[in-house]
Amino acid sequence: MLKRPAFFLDVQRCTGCKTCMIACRDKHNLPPDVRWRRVVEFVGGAWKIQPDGTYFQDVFAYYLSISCNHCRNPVCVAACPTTAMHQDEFGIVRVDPDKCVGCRYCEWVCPYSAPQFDAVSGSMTKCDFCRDDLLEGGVPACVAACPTRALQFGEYDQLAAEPGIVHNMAPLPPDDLTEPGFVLAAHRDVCPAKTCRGRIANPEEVIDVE
Amino acid sequence: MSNEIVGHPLSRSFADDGRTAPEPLRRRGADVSLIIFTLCIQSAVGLVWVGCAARWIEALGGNSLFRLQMATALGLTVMGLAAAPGHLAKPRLAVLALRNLKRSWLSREVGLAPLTAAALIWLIWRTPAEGGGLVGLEIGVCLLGLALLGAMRGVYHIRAVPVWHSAATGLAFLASALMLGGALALAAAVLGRAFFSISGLALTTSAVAVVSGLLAKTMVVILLLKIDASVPDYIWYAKTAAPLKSDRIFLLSMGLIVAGIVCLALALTGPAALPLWALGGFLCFAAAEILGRRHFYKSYQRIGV
Repeated sequence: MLKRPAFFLDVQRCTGCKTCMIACRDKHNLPPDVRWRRVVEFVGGAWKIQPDGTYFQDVFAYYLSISCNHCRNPVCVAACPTTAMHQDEFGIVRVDPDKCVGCRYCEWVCPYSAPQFDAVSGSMTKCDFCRDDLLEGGVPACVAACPTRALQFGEYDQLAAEPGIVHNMAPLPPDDLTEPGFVLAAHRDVCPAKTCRGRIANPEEVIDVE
Repeated sequence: MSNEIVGHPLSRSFADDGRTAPEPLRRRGADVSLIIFTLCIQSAVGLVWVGCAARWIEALGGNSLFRLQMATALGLTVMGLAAAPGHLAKPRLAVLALRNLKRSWLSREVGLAPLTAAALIWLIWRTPAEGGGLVGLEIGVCLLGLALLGAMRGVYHIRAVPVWHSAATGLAFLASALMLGGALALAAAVLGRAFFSISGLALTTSAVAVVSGLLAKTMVVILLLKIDASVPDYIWYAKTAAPLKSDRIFLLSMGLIVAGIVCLALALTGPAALPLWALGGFLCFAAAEILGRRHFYKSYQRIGV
């Protein structure tokens, strides 16, 4: 078992096919409104006119497959009043459903929408890194399903030491907020967090909406 | 100078596709429970502060009024505690929320509220009907109230929610406590006139608390206007939820606060038969607070995804 398992996403390779989302949903038998993994489509840019009257465009789009990042500083664990949200010996953040009272405070504090409320059980639920598979030497379902091998996993320190890694990328929050265990290889159009004029193009798919 | 094309068919970018960003899901009724809890607790804490302050200024006089005020504060605290589990999916397990006092502000808030209620019961029980009192215990209850407000501020001072992660949140809670507590103390004093003697100092202290609360609220509005301007830089999927963007709610709240001030002024300066105006003043303030709080919860937007 890895000391601190982390997801790795090569943003240039991710085509936004959402197979990882489906694999996760399938493996954990999640209800439709519970999304442990989501694929965010981040877009921006526009057509612009140049002094000579010609047009050019700086339109961009890239996809980010996001789940719980099993952060080094998990704000959900600190905020949880019941200690239902906890971090195990491998750094995997998990929920104890017997302790969870369903206050949904972890949902407020997590900037990655990782904790997801299951209305049927009345508890928060979240990605557990397919811990059962990892313990048996297997691979998380989302990683196994990724057709382009854009989504991978490994030891955080090893992944973070690879060249071309970025830590701040819109629309992700600044990484000093929670020190996420999520390693990204940048897209050519990557926008650093806070400096990018763009928006999430598929909010209905990634945000819990009324 | 931006050379982006405005109005040209080619200028239609992905970012301008005209869709309204959806609001994050929250269970129906959850906000109501939290609004009742925060409103009751802040009113109770403010009432304790104003009641104690008036009593200390009067050299521990006015026991009847003080006991009435503390009983009201206790009632509010109990009401808030009764409403709080309404937002839980498993209210029968609510007691488990005390397990993370070391790290969680929510846990501390949950722990401090019943502690304040217990301290209030003790204070009411130990305060004699006539003359004298226990200053140490009174100070203790005031500090417990302060700690409770501090914990409440900690709960909402979330880094991932930039609209709430500002000085405005704590100041708004303090302002509400002073405003509502002052108005309630005033109402209790004006109503109490019919049954026991009330000194002018008690009324003045309450009025000062209300004015301080209103000044603090003004500061909050100024701070929120600044946040309004900065929020769009952080939020990727919805740029419409800044706290004061809804002018209609803001104007209605202001109208209710003005009505509350008029009611309280009438209760203070009018003939003795106006105690209901004082209560009306408190209710106007409370209604303004409910509107503001509904908007506060709606203004929730995280950084990130």
